Amino acid sequence: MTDLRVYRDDSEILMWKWEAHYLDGSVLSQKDEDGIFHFIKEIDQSKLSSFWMISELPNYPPIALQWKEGRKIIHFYRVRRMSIGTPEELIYRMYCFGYEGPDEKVILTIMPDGGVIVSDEVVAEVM
Amino acid sequence: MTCTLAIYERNGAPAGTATAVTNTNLSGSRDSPNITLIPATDAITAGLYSYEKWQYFTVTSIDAGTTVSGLKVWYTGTIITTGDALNTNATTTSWVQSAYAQPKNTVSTLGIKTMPSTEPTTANVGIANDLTGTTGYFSNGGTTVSDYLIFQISVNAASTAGHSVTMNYQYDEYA
Repeated sequence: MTDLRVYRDDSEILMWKWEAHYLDGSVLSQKDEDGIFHFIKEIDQSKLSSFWMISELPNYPPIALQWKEGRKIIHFYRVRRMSIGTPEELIYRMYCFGYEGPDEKVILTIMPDGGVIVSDEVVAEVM
Repeated sequence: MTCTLAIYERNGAPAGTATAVTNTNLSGSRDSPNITLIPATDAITAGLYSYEKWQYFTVTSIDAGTTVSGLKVWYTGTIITTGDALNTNATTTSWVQSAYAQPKNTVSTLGIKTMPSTEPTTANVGIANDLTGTTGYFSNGGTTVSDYLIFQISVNAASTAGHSVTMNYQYDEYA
């Protein structure tokens, strides 16, 4: 088996990156000090204490989710493209994260201006 | 952990010619991509139809370990006149993958659903005949082209010339 490692230019500024904080105090960052980018699947969710979204830009406070056993991390980027071919053409990226638990799914969406939309839905009960 | 997506349009008799989309203007007389509309010749006669658009999402680059799914399309704007219809094959349920056929300016037999005017709650354009992202998703070395999105507009006598709506395209990127 080959481990996948993605290296990037350290100077790349991330609008938002995730950090996994473990119960033993250690931290796995999406972008670590060696310039390695990590994947969500590398997080040991059974040992998680909290999951953070942190901006490398000033003026955006971090957002944290306290963790509970049995939750599964949700994390993705939602990209929207509007008005193709017009002077108003717009492409923007939303940062979506949250969790799916036994009874509910909660997603926080960080909008381009830093605003956060929280949405949740009840997970259908399996009869 | 990045990817680049483009939207392409296919035109002409199969296999057709694919072109990157820079606009989605609909014409009553031309099956062409990226049309600069000429009112005298591109206008859609009341009671008739535009040429269908056959478009698809495709990744032009995607990092290993990254996947893309959740394709959505909808329009915004309230300027379609009552009686006009922007119809499509996009749907959040019972998606059916369509094999490419030459676009036509008679009533579409595939684009028979109403194009949503707000963001759909779930994906409404399939990848590999799947809406859920379970089996159909873009990946490095895997699927890189979506199923076809088809849409067409019909107009009525009360339509106002020059009105437009904004098409919105969206996808979710996982890494």
